[in-house]
Amino acid sequence: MSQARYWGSRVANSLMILWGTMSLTFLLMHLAPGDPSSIYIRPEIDPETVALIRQQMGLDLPLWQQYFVWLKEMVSGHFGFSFSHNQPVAEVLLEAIPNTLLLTVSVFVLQLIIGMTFGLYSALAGKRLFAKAIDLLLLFFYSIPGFWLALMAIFVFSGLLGWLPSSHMASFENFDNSIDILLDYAWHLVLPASVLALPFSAQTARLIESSLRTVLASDYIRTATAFGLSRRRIVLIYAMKNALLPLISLWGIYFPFLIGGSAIIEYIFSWPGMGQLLINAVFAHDTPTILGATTIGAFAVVLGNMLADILAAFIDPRIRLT
Amino acid sequence: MSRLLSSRDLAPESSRKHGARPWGLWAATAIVALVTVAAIFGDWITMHDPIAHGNLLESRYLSPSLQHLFGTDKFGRDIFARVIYGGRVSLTIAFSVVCLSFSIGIFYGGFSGYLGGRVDKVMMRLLDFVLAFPLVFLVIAAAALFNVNNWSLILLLSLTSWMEIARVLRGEVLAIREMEYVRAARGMGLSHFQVLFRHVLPNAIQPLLVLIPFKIGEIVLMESALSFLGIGVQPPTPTWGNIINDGRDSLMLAWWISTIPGCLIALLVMSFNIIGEALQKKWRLD
Repeated sequence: MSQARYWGSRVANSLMILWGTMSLTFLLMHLAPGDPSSIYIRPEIDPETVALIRQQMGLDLPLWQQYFVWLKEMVSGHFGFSFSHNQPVAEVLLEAIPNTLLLTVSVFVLQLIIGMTFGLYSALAGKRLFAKAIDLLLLFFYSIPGFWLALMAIFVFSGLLGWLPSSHMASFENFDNSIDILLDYAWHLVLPASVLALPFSAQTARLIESSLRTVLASDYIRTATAFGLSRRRIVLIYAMKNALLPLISLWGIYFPFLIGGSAIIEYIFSWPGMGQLLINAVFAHDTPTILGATTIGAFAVVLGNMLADILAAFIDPRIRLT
Repeated sequence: MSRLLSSRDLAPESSRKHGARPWGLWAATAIVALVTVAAIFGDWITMHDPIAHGNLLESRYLSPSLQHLFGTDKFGRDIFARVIYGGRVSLTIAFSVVCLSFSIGIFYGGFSGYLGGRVDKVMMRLLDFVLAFPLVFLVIAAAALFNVNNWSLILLLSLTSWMEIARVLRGEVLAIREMEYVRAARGMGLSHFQVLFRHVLPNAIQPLLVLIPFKIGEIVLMESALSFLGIGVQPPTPTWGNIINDGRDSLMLAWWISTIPGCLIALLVMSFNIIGEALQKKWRLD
C-alpha cells in the first residue's frame, strides 16, 4: 500500500514539474518582445494580410485561450507547427530525438567505462596519489567552460592533427555496406561524446572511489573475507552493490546538467539533435519549436530522475520500505 | 570573525589544519587578486581601446607580440585590452549576481527555516520544484527572447541561482532557532524580524560564506556560455565569452583570440573553486 502511494506521489510530482516547466516557458515566450509572425511579415504586405497571417497562427486570440489551445495540442502530441522549419514540430522533434539519444547514451557508456575503471583502481590500489590526481582532474573539469573545451578539442584534433571530424553526424559520402556507415557515425561521435563524458567520468570515478573505500571498511566485507570468498567476488559483487547507490543518485542529479550541457556541445559540433534544434529555434524566434524542445528536455529530466529512483529502489530494498 | 564561531570550531586544533594544497591556495588567491586588480585599474594597464576598430589594413590578426601581448582580432582590436575590459564586465556581473542571489536566498531560506512548520514545508516543496527544472534550457530561451542587456542578464542569472543558498541557510536556521538564546531574545521582547536578522542569521552565515566562491565560479561559467552563444553580453562590449565566440571561426588562422580568454576563465574559476574548497576544509563543512 505505502509502496503504491510512494510511487503514485512520485509520478504526480513529476507530472507537476513537467506542467510547471511547460507553462512557465509558454508564459516566458509570450511575455517576450517580438512576434513569431514577424518572420513572415515584410513592410510591403498590407495590414489585412498581416491580420490573416496572425489569425492563421492563432496569435489573435487572448493569451489564456492561446494557452489552452497550446496545452491541448501538447497533450495530444501535436506540438504545433514550426515556423522556421515549415513542418509540424512533432516531426522536427522526432528527427532530432534519436540523434540526441545516441549522443547521450554514448556519453553515458563512455563515462561509465572510464569512471569505473579509474574509480575501482583508485580504491583498490589504495594509492593516495592516484586519488589526489582524480581530485585535481575533477577540479579542472569543474572549472573549464564546456564550450571552450569543445572548441579546443576541434582545434587540436580536427584542425591541427586532422584526425577526427569537427562537425555533423556523418560524412557526405555514400557507403556501400552498413559497417562502414556505422564506423562513420562512431567516427563523428568521438569528439562530442568525449568532451561531454570526461567531466562526468571524473565525477563518477571520485564517487566510486570514496564510496567503495567506505564500504570495503565495513563489517560485512570483513565477514565475507573471513568466510574465504575471493577478493574479486567480494569487491565486484558484495561491495559494488552498496557502492553503486550514491552513484545512482549522482546520475539523477547530473542528468539535467548533461542535457543542458549537451545543448551547447551539439550546437558547436552541428550535431543535429535537440540542443542544436533549441538554440537555432531560439535564434529564429520559433516559439512552437522552443516550447516543444523545452518540454522534451523537461520530460527527459523528469524521466531520468524517475529512472534513478527506480534503479535505487531495485538495488537497495531498504528504500522500498520507507 | 570571532562572532561567527560555532560548535564546529571547537574541534581539536590539530584537525583544523589547512587544506592539502597550501601552495595551490596561495596561487589561487594571487590569481583572483590579479584579475580583480586588472579589472579595476584596466585603464592604466593598457593604452589600447578595447572597442574601436584598429587599422584594418595593417593590424588585423596580428599574433601575440610585445606591442599586442595577446595579439589582435579581425577588426584589429587588441585582445589584451579586450580581455582586461571583458574581465571587468564578467566580474562585475558575477559579483552583482552573487549579491542579488544571496539576498534572495537569504530571505527565502531564512524565513522558511525560522517560521518552520507548514510554511516551511510549502516553501521547500516549491524549492524542490524549481530545482528540478532544466534551468539551462529556460535560461537560454529567456536570454535570447528578451534581448537581454547587462541588467536583465544579472536579474536572469540571479533568479536561477539562489536555490542552493536558500536550502543551505534553511538547514542552519532550523537548528539554530531551537537554541536557548533565541528563546531568550524572544523573551526580551524582540520581534521575530529582529531575532531572525540580528541573532539567528549571523550565526548561520558561515556555510553561506563557503558558497560564495563556488557561486562566483559557477556564474562566470554560465555568463560566458551565454555570451559565447551571442545571447549574453552583446558585442561590441567585450566579455570573455563573446571574445571566444569572435575567434571561433578563425581558430586555424588566429588561435590566440579564443584560446587566451578560455584559459583565463578556466584559471579564474579554478582559483575560486580552490578557495572555496580551502574554506570548506578550514571550517570542516564537508
